[in-house]
Amino acid sequence: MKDSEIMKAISRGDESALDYLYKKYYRMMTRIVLTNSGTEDDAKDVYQDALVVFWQKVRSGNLVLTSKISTYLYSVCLNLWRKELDRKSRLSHEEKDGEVIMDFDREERARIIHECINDLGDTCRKILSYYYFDGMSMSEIAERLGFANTDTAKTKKYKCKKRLDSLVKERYSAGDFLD
Amino acid sequence: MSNTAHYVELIEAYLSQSLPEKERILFEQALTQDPALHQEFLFQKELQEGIQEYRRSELKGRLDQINPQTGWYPWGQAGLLKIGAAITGLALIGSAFYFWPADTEYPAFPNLANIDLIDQEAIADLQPAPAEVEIIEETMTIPVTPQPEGKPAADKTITTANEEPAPVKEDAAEEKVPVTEVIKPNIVADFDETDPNTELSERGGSPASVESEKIGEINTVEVTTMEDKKYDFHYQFYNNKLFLFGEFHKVPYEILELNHLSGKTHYLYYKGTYYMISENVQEVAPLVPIEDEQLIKDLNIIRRNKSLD
Repeated sequence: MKDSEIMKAISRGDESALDYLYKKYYRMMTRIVLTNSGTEDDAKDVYQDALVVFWQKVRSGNLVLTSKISTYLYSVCLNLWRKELDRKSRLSHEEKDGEVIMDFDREERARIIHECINDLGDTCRKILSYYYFDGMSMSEIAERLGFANTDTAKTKKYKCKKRLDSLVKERYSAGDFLD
Repeated sequence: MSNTAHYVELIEAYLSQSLPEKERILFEQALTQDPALHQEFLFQKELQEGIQEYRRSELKGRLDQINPQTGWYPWGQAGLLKIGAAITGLALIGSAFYFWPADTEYPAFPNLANIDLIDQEAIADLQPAPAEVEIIEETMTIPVTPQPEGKPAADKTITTANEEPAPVKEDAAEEKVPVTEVIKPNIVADFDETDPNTELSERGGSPASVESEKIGEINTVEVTTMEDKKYDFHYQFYNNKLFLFGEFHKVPYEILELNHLSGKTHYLYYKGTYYMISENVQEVAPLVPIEDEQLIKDLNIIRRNKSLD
């Protein structure tokens, strides 16, 4: 599969292209982490994150690739691992200084949102993911999910988002996260 | 905050950076002056981040299901398929030259020449294979039986539903061996996915019923299974026809066909053991299990990888 074919596949939302990339460059990319004091799990996590970044960039149409995909992924992996090492280093200093401030509220709110998204129907989850993460237009969403037209997609998206808003607000209120 | 829907719309436009410059400045001013708007803004931002995180973990979860170690080849999986496709193309071109004009004799084994005429016509010239060929990963070498010079190699052809497999004779002097079935299995099929009994009964019908193949799985071998008192676990392989003697109806088996630059190598996988299928075995030969641990390991990788596809 050529790079251009992979780009096209991702552009049209074909997730199997991501699987292909994952397998193809797994060793090359994870080596970056493994040879820089990372574990296999760290390496896997970083490479998966890099692929997700790549996916999102391509899907949103914001990526003009001037190098090979492998080169791009390599640099993303490198940056992500540097950031992670910095974070670990900071965390270890904070621990020494007794300054660990865990944002439990933030974590709890993130968990609530995750649960509320889970509570939505499959169609709602897809609409919101495609719109807010993949950056798909309403016409693309309509086509992909088989809606009659763009207006139907817009209406559905509005309703799904509203439903999520109220679900989250309900649980935020119960957890005293809202004033 | 009197009009939440309007605010949400504005916030979304701001977060997606689609607000015009003037409106963006006005919005930022309003954020500092209206606490309710500011709170709604933080909420909407958090919600969008939550949705993005959800999708991110969904994609990562998908990747987590993949075992990347089994699917890796130094030249990529497509490379293997391309090599297979190239060999098929080469064989087709070769066959065109070889059989022009069409008056062709089949010197060896005239008793088998009638089984599948179309297969015979697809025989093509290939260069003799080297003794060893690099095939999977950097360290793996799979021995390939060299083909005699000028020996035609066969290629995949289509057997139509009208073509019934003819009975096969071992030799004129030998007793008749009943042909039980002629099947063309999908190479490296994953038997775990189907009930073996069902699969065999389905496949046992006509050769055409098992014609369909995955792209890249260049199924060039026609397999015939036979039961013979004399040969309880043997094989014969030439002209791209593989004859398996034994109780192959009872337990599913797989034929692994590995394509490489200089030819093909075949292996039989049966009851958890691999057997080497040497080419040009014109006399019935016993199936001997492979004992090379590295080769077994590599074949396991290929089988697992194929079952993932």
